[in-house]
Amino acid sequence: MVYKCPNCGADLEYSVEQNKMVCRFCESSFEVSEMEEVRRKAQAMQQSQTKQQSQPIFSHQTQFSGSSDTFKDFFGQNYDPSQIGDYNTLLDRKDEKEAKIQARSKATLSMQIMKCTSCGGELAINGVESSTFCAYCGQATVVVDRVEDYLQPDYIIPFKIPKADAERIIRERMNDGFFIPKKFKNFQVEKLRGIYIPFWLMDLHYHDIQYYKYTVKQGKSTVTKYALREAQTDFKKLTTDASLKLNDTSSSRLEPFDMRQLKEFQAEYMSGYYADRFDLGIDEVKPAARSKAAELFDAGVKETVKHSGAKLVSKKPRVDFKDAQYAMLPAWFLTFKQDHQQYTILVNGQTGKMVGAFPFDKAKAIGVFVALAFVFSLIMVPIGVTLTNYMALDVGFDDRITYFYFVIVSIVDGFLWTSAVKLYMRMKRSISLTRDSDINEFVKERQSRS
Amino acid sequence: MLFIFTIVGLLFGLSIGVGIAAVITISAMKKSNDIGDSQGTLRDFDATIDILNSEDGLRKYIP
Repeated sequence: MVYKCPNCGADLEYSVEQNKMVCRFCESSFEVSEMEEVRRKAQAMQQSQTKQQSQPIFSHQTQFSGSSDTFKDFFGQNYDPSQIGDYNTLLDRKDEKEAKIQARSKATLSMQIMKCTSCGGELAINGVESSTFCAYCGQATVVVDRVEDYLQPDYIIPFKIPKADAERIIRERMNDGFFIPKKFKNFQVEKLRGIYIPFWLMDLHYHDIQYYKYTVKQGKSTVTKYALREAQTDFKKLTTDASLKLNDTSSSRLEPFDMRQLKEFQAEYMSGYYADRFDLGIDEVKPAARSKAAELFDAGVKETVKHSGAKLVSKKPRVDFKDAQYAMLPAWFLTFKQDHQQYTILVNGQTGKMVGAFPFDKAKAIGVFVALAFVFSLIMVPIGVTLTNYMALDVGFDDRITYFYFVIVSIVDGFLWTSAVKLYMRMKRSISLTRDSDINEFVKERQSRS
Repeated sequence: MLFIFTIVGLLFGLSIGVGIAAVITISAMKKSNDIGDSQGTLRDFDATIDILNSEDGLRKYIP
């Protein structure tokens, strides 16, 4: 579907700045809520144009005989279709509900060839795209059959961050990064695309019986104890990524979205942006929703266990899925190339939260590390030498305190190095997500706007 | 003996000093270069946990 301006016939697109549908050509603007009326006017204008153009060619009119509200049954008797019993209506509704559940439980996709209504160019639309642009004339197009009937999203959060602001956020945030190399800070934008990502908003009841293990000092000995927590919660609108190509880690990092700003779905908001329909159905995302709920639930319950070092040793979760609603949530995707590598940075289209990781400036990193190592070694070496000599020679090598001293120093040392390695590995993982080829293709494999 | 324990103390001090430097440097690098490494929290989903049963100091647990 293409939204046409009733004044000049050019494309209408959703403008973040004005929160309206704006004409790219004559700059007329219309409230999204007025779009039904605008669409009617545009259609009337188009029809009158077609009529004027077609009059010389088609001179005859086809007439249909009979009244449209007269129906005959098998026995030739007239009947009023509105009098058909409620039983059929109820059956239809029941079937409709089941059809909706079936349509949403698993995704079935097919590629489409569409003809642009503006220039006539043929576009190959992949199985998930539900809003795109014509590759030849740049006309914004919504693929209607992917956002209607059972596939119509229930909610949408319209873009709040304009395109220019998304790039500005990225540049400002990268300029603040002390360890980000200069060549990265001066990146050349390859693609910057606003994409509505499909999400399932899951309502579920979570119940669990958990045991935590901890130790307490009783006199001279240490005793193992357990803490029981039986708890429950109702998750409302737990976001679960419904896109197969966008990995869950990247999409969950975009969170949080402010769900108070969810709007009833209107396809108008998608005009001028890219959008995908879900390619993971409700049944297919249930395991991901379950593990996300578990992560949040466990963290929440653990906060109520006040004993230090308490560890979760047993759990019996029970999850009841209540409902799932389909929502489109906004994100900007910026791609650039550096040192023969592709990078994709994400910006939450509602809150402006940026997600991306970059390689570090080696010279700066080594410089800072050497300086800090020198300072801390200068402090720690005299302490280490003095304490070790005191413990081993003055207190006595056989004494229990000396033994504890050596054990504690080794534990502290091990903890420091393990933390450093863990942090480094986590950073490497984040960088690999930014370089991920799937997410890069997710952005690039779309019709480019001419 | 004094020499050996001086070397051991020196290694302890060096290892901890360099370890602290490594943790601080990598944390700073992560803060600078890994942007947006956080996920939603329980509050984002408008959910509060009801504790139905809470017992501490148990000697055993039934898995």
